[in-house]
Amino acid sequence: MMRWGPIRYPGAIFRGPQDTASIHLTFDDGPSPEATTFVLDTLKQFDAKATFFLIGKNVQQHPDLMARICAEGHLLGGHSMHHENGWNTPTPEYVHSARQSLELLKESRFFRPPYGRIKKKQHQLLAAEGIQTVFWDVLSYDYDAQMSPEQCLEHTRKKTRPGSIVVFHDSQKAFPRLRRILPQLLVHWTDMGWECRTL
Amino acid sequence: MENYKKINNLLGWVSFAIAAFVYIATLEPTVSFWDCGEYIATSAKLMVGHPPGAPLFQLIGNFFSLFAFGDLTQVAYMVNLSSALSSAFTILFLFWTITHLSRKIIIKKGGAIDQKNMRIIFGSGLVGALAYTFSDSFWFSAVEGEVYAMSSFFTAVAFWAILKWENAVDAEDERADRWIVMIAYLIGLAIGVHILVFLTIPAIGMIYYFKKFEYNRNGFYLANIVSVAILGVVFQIIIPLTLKLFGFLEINLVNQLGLPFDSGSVAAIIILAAVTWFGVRFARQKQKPIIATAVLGIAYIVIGYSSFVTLAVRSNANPPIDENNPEDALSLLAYYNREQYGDWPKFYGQSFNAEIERFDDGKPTYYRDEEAGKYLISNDGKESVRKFKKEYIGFFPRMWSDDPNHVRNYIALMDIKDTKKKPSFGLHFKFFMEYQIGHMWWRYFMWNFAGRQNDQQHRYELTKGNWLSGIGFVDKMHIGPQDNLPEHFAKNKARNTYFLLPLILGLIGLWFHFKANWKDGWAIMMFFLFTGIAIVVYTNHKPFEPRERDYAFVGSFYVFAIWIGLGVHALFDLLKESRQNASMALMISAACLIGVPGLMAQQNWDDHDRSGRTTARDIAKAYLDSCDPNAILFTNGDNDTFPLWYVQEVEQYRTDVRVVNLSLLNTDWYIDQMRRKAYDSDAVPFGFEWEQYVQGTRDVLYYRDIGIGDKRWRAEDFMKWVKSDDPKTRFKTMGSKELQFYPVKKLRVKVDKKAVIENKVVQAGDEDKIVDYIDWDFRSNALPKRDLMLMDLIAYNDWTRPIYFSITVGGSRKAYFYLDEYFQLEGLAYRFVPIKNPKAGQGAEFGRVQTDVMYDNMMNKFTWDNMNDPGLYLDETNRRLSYNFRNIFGRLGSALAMEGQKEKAIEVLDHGMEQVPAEVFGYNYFVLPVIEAYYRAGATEKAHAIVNDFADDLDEELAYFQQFKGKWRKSIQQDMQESMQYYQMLMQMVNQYEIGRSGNKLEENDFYQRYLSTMGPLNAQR
Ligand SMILES: [Zn+2]
Repeated sequence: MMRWGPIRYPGAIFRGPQDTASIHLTFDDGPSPEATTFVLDTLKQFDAKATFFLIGKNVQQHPDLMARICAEGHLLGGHSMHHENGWNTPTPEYVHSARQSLELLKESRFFRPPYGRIKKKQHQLLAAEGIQTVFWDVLSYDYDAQMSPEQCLEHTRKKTRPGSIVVFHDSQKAFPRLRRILPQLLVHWTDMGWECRTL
Repeated sequence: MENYKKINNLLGWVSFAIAAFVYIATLEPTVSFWDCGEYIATSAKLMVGHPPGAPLFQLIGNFFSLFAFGDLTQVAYMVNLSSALSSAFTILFLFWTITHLSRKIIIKKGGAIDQKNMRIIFGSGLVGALAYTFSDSFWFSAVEGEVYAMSSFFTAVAFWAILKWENAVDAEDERADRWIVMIAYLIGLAIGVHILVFLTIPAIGMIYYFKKFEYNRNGFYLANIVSVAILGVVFQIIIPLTLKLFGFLEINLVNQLGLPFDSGSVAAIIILAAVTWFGVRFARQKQKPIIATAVLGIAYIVIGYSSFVTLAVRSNANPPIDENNPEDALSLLAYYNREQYGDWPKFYGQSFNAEIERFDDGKPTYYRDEEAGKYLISNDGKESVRKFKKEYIGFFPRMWSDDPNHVRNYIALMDIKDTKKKPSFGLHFKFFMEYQIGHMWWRYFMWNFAGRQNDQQHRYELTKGNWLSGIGFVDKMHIGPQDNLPEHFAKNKARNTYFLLPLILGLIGLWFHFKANWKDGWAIMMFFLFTGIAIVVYTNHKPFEPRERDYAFVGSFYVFAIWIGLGVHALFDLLKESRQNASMALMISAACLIGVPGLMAQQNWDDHDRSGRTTARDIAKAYLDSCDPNAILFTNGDNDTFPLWYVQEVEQYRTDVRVVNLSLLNTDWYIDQMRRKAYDSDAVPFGFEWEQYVQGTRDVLYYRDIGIGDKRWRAEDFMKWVKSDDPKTRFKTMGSKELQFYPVKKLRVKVDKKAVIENKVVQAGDEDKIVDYIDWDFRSNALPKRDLMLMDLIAYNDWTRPIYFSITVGGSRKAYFYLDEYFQLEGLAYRFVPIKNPKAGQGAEFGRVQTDVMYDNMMNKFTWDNMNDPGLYLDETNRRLSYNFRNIFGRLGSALAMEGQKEKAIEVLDHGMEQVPAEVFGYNYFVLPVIEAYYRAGATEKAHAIVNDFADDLDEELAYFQQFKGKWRKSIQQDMQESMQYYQMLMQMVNQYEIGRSGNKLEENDFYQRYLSTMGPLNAQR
């Protein structure tokens, strides 16, 4: 999906610097009690740092989880208020939702469009306010109930390269796959000597 | 009173200065589209434009062009400047007209011309004059080289003059009637610009009546009838009759009495002068001042329009543009009567589906035969006038045109079931009210005083060219919901909203005028009706016209601006008497000034500011630059012809190319001109003699099956048949007239390879593709004269002159005479080459692409000034013609990619998207070839990005259309279908180039997901 991005969304991030042995894990759609707690605990074990793109509605329900993510040295980003699809949402409404989701977090300027679907105009308006749109280059497919954990694992391991931005979902829906693949991937990446950093 | 006069003069000139500043600041710096190129060229070089002619406009334009001081690129600007100044003077006279009418109201009420009343008079004047300054249609004509600005000027002066007459009568000036004579002179002069000025006559008549006669009801009725009758007499009798006098005397004196040429014209002048002289003397002796004024008036009308003589003088010099060649009194009469355009019914006549009963004889056409010293008949006109069956003739025929396009729309718009029967009077009337009044006048009226949706041409769509107030519920009532408008709709610079303020102020003014001084109100109303509805009745518009026609109705908008001015007066008058003081007068005037002209200026500036725009000129040059030296370039429309005339005639650019307009090529005089050398371009080698193509000879040839239809003839043999006078080539139809026919539709044109190579008709490397002969199958069952001319050129073509067809000639194989298999696209034109293109006739993509030539033309020769500057205003015509570039950039890119030159292809496409960028031109059908070419060149990212950007627009459109529910749904259906169709086309392209044989899964493609999420719900709804 990423292949087309750079031309259409000038200034957006798709991948980190490729000359360091580090990768960037990102977790969308949280916080949710079970999944987010699991992710935080696992990351702590491997001394990995990640970026969490939170849905505004969930932040309002679980402010304590947001505080914990922050306290453990991870980075926060917005992911809209209600997970709106940019292609089907009128631009003013969409930009408003993105802005609001960021205002709930302290001092964040990163925004990930839900589904990766954002119109050029919406991107331009956010960029004008200094908000940085973040896409990804590796999708773990952890949200896809049709995929087995093994398939997810195999796919993600194969696609990740130095500098990659990898998407996971700390949501209830993705949890069955996430709990299986995250520890194994972290073991693999540690073996490779790659460091997991925030953006 | 002295003070009043001084301020009245001063503020009049202030209005003039503001208007002049506005129009000069927003003036188009060079030629514009449509007729402007023709008007500028014929002004600069005093040539003969299309009938009925505008000789006075040309003389004035020529005077202005002198101020270019030899800088040929500035000539168009100077001619445009004459429009700007004419318009500014119109504003001056409008100001004085309004203050005169406003002052009359004060005086009638017994008020004094004190400070407060002066303020309200001048406030009215300024608000009305400036509202008109900034009004949509008038501003449009003020900044280009067309006749409408100058026509407005004459209209304004003529009406102002009758008010001066009124003042003179009040002052008991014995010579007051000289103003009437002046009006007559102005009307005569104005015929040399545009006949619209005639339409002031009824209003002028009513002012005269109210001043000179005691009112009583019958007198009033009679005055109305007489005023309209004077208009009829001037229009239908005085002007044509004098011309007929010239024609009649010329024919009879020369042919019957054997006098030399032009003696009839001299005799006519003597007769006219004598009649005038004796008429005035008689009136003086008998003490009949009205008769003296009338005789002098008629004489001055004739003197005024004597500017037409210059057309005949110039036509005799045979300039390169010499339309209809009106060299003598006879041809000038035909020219003035627009005989080229035929006649159409107004009050009584045939319906569109009328069956023809018989052909009656028409008027013969004469030509001057120098050898015989006589006028001879070139076309006897026998059996040339259609007579329709009685059952199809009726009163007020509003649906009359038998053009298939118009017929289709009559049937669709009026929901006609029985297409064979004559539509009832009721249905004609319904069409009149709905289409002719509603869409072709009221809509324009509202554009000017309520606001305008956008600059797209309206054909009954809810999304294009409607009037728009900016008040949600008002707009919702006539064009549906306006919330969540797609951004590219809202961004249209011509989207202007005045919240009905000018309309409301004008209506208040109208009501007040009738209340305070109904006589003036009525005279002005006559002015309004005749410059509005009367034009609608007379022109009898068909569905649909090729362009918006608002500029023709500016007279009625002028009148409404008078009422806008008087609206200010009315608001003051509505105050309690105790509050009617000088400071309230100032406040009301100031508030109206900001709320009406101020708002209109703010809204209209960006879409009337043509400064910096050079698209018409640049495109014209690109057409010429698409051609090799000494080419013959066939064109068809206004916009691929007139701007070319301009750059050749005025800027002397590429005068080696001969532009041949195919619609004019059916006339003998145009063929005459093409057979003459013009500048660096030799005569077009048409092999017909004058007797063989003169009007009335070979106007159309018909196919007849005589049993040899499947034979293929040599092209030369076919032309011999065509040129033959042998009776075996003739047949008789139902009348007595003999017509010529042709028995085969298949020709073979042999190709002289040596000549082809010697003349470099094909590029190096293409020599082996040259065919030995061209098999030419034209499927037409009738060949008009222009086809014969073209066939002759092709049959005897020796390849020394490159032959091109502009890509805007048409969209069908027929439009290109079925030659398209041998076309080579080289820019904005197809070159006729002896190389067969196997893929001919697929969609509208004609011709093979010669990438070397086309690359050089498009990347090096075409000059791009600033079309991609988002600050410029490009209206729909400008945008539409620029889209052709996207199309040809796409085709060149595709062709390069197919040849394996992928980098070059991407360079071309990038350049194209830079010159015709999305920010200015948005996305539509013409971006599809560009997307496809990017894919073919392997620039998948770039293609995919455009696909998604286009889909952004489509998503917004579809979301917007979905708000149209219930009765609105049907009206928006077509727009919606179109958006969905584009979505499908994009999907098809993604599928073909991103999925195809690549092994990628469709389900994984992000655009496929997008397509499903948009189209899924829509398809479910259907
Ligand atoms: Zn998400």
